[in-house]
Amino acid sequence: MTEITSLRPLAAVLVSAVAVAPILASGARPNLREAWTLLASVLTLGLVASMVPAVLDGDVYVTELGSLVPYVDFTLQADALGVLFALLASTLWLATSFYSIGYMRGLDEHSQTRYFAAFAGSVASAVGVAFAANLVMLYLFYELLTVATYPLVAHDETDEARAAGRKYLAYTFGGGVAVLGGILLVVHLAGTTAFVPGGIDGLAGADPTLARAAFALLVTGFGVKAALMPLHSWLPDAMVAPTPVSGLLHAVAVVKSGVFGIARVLLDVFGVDLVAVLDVGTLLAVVAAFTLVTASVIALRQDNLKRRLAFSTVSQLSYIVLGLAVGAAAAPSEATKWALIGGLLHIPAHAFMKLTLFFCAGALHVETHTDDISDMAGIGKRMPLTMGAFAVAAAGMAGIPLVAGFTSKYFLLIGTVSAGNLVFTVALLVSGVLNIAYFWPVVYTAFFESQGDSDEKPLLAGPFGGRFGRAARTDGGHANDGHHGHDDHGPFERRAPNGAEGSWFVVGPILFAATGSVALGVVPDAAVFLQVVREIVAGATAVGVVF
Amino acid sequence: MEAIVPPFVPVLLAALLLPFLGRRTGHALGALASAAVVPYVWLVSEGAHLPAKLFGFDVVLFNVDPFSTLMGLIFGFIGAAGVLYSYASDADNLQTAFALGYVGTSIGAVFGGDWLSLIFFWELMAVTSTLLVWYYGGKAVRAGFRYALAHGIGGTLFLGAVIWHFAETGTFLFASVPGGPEAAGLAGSVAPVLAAVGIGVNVGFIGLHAWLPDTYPRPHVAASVFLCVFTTKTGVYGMYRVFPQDGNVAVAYMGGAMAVFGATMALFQNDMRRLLSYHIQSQVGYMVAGVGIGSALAQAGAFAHVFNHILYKGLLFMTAGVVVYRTGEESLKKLGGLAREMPLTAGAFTVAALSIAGFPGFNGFVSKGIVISASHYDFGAGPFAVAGYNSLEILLLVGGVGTFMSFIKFGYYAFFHGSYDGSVKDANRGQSVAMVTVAALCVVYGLFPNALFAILPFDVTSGAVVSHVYHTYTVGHILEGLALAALGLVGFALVKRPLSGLGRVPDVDRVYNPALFYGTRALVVGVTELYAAVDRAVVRGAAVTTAVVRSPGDAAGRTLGDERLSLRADYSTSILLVAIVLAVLVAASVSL
Repeated sequence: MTEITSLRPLAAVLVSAVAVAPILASGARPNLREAWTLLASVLTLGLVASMVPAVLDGDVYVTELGSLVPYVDFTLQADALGVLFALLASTLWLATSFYSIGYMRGLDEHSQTRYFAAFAGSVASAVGVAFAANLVMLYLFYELLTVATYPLVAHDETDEARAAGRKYLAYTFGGGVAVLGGILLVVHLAGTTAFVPGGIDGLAGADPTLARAAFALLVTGFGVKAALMPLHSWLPDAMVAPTPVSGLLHAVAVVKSGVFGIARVLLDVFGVDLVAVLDVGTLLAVVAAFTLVTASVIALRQDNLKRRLAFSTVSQLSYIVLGLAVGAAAAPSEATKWALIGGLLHIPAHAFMKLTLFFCAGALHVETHTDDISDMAGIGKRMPLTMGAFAVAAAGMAGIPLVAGFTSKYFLLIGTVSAGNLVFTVALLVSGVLNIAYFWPVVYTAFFESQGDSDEKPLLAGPFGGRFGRAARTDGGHANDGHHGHDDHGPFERRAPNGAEGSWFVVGPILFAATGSVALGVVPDAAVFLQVVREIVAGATAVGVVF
Repeated sequence: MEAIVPPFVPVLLAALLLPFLGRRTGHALGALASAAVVPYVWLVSEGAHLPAKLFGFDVVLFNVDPFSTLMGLIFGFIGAAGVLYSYASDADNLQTAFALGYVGTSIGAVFGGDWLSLIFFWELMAVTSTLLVWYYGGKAVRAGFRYALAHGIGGTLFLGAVIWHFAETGTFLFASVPGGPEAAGLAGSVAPVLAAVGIGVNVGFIGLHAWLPDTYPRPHVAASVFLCVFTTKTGVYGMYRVFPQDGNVAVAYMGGAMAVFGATMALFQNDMRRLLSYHIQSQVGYMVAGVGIGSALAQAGAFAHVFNHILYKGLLFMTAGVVVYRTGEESLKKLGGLAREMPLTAGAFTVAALSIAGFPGFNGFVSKGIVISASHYDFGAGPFAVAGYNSLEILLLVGGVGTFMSFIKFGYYAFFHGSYDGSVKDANRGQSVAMVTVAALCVVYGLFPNALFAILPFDVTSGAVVSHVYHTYTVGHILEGLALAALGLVGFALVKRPLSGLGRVPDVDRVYNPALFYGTRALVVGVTELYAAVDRAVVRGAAVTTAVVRSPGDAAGRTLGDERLSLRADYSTSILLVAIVLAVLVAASVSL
């Protein structure tokens, strides 16, 4: 493993940060402003992608900027784990930039300049989180990410949006304080916070109680953004933001920075062997398993599509944390390798699938102003490509083969079974069935029901057996009359599945994200991400995983 | 012949192209793609072809052995017949595309040479069949959702079993494939049990079967023809792969119980397709019993029965479908005397009914006979053996009587009793061709059983292979078949009156559907209310803390009931406070 001194990690972060200024300056000329965004995202993607081949060989790109203060090294490094997150964020930022154009213009939203500028700042912070070489840099970019995303969460400027923004800040800054506490403890115990594959040496010989305390603080702090229960409630409320924000930031970048932080702590600060010795992995896995199942249960009751997707995100993020925690707790063994691969692969797998789903929700809002599932009967006629992509991503969430969700869940299952933790296996399997229960009604109501001829949604709120059930019949049969006043559009008109349903700026990224989900489900190695994951696990466990 | 592509590829390609083609071209392509599987798998050499890597695991995409070849032959044939029937029954391209997707994924499942391929295609079969059911709309949609959940649970258990096996052996490959483990089947003691229950959903174990009569009668009549074939028989194939060597006693008895239970419940049904759906469970019981017994004779019998059953059950759904298509009625209570109006359909129905009941001269007699023979010679006496007949054997024979009774009922009420008001046309040309072809095969394989024996995995006519050489047309066998038929006639005559007064007989889903629905609703409401309460408490706590910190005076005043407490100390109070603090500090430092 060679260290390559290069400016590319710094450049990848700076490109989008520097783009903020021209975006703000060209507010009066929207096309020029959008061009800056697209240029920045293409450049970022290019820079990150150019580092992938060497990283797959085991090299690391490092940019050292010196240290102003003792213990605070301004160093950026692009190693396998960093490249995983950065590649994901930059690829999906490109798609989201196109989508944002279609979405914001389709709704004729206000303050688009502020939106695009904050978006660029957020992506810069996310790439910074990815390429941080030590905990302090990670913390710095982590907090910058919160600051940069606040204007996006509160974009609507309504009372609800401001309240959601305040809650978001309260939770994430609170988490940041916990992280800072953990960092201070780590510095006290080990003298350094630089990431070392396999863990920082100084921590291994340190006092176990303090080490556990540091672990708890760090994981709790990062766990806020990773939406571990009970620290998750900022996420459903943050759905008040525009959909591209909800999608990229809250399903891809912000929440993934939380799990990324946990991954760094488990793999490069403590190391899987120390976590197993300290016996802290199992408790984290229990929290993750609890979140997994509970969030899926809550999702069953949500009528608003974005809220349902938010709870699904809470649940799916815990798949990642579960994989990491089980892998760490079972070290050193075969199970570690499988569980870590599953958890880490779920980062890109979930990102592509969830982004598809959010893009679809946004497209439905732009084209038909439909936000609630109970209004979506027959919408597949109006938006066939969109709902088709939704169906593919929903199948993937349930773990159906051909889509990315099956691949990562498969590795996770092997990991939990090999480690002997059957409770976690059962939690994963139950969650798969619950995913069918809360996603597939959306698919079937879109394509196979029509307004006036549909069951009440959410299904659990309606009569047993739906509109044909005995409960509905003896009820005087009122299962259909005016879904509490939402029926204001009349039946959806049919559009051909050739893009006639909306702008290509909106439909194109949807198809891109859905295709990515399928690519990761069929050829995850060829689609690069699984190769990167194997490289990460090889470094973290010193076990050969190329096979 | 060289193995170029796995046989599922052309079928799935046809499925993808169908929605973009004309109706005639599309269906012709679909029928051709499915029919082409038959000569292809017959001619290709045995062995594990087309190894590949999926997610880094070794898989085999085209594993050819006598078991998978038999499945491929019959799946390909019935797929083609089903597409022809779909075209003739006014199914549209998208529905047939979903059906072909279902056919293709089933073929992929039976030709996989490893557990990963099998579970991969198994899940896709569940998805494609769900889409096929949903497509019809109306009541089929909610039923399809229940179907998806049931198969989601079954597939999940099977997935758990496969993963467990991998954790024990380190490979997904079958034992018969190069690179596979020593012992065939699933390793350990947990994996086979999980797999049996998971596959049990697909084959209709008692208690896990209610989705069969709930779902199969709902969609388009042509869709039912496809549905009745693939899921359950791939399940039997999967069960064989789990227990390839010595079978499993519990599975064998479950098969016997299914044979009786399914036939009994079928007798209570008036909806034609619901009656046929329960019979699927009953007949699959014979196959599952064969797999459970585990000897060469039993396994040969099970797979012979798979082959034959696909023929006559497909034919039965086709004839019932023609009746529904022409009359618009689903229920036996609204039909009668159709033999006069629809002689060809009635004739095809009679052939199929005699086949399923096992009347001598038809294919069901042959394969049922092999399984019953195996239950006699290769299986223990069991708890209630009587007069030289083993317990399992008795269950299978009783199932045979029940089968005769319910098909006499079907034929009586639909075709032979009474007369039909009005006139209906018989099956149209396409439907007739499909039905007559399949009926002919039922007769051919009944009269010339050696033709079937040639494709079975074990030679049942050779004493070196099976424990007891099987002779189809012995006096004993024929008498047995005729006796069952007679018992069936007598039994039907006895129960005809009371049966006609019977309403809808509840099945296990009358209990578990409301339990699951209301139970889940209670759980969801409980969790969300708890979460909301905790959230409210936290928010209130945060609000109170901020209020106290922002203006302590107001907070203190509120607790004491005063409007506002001034926390400013005056001159004398200040001196007192400072004195107290100093005294405490001095005392502390002195005591330390």
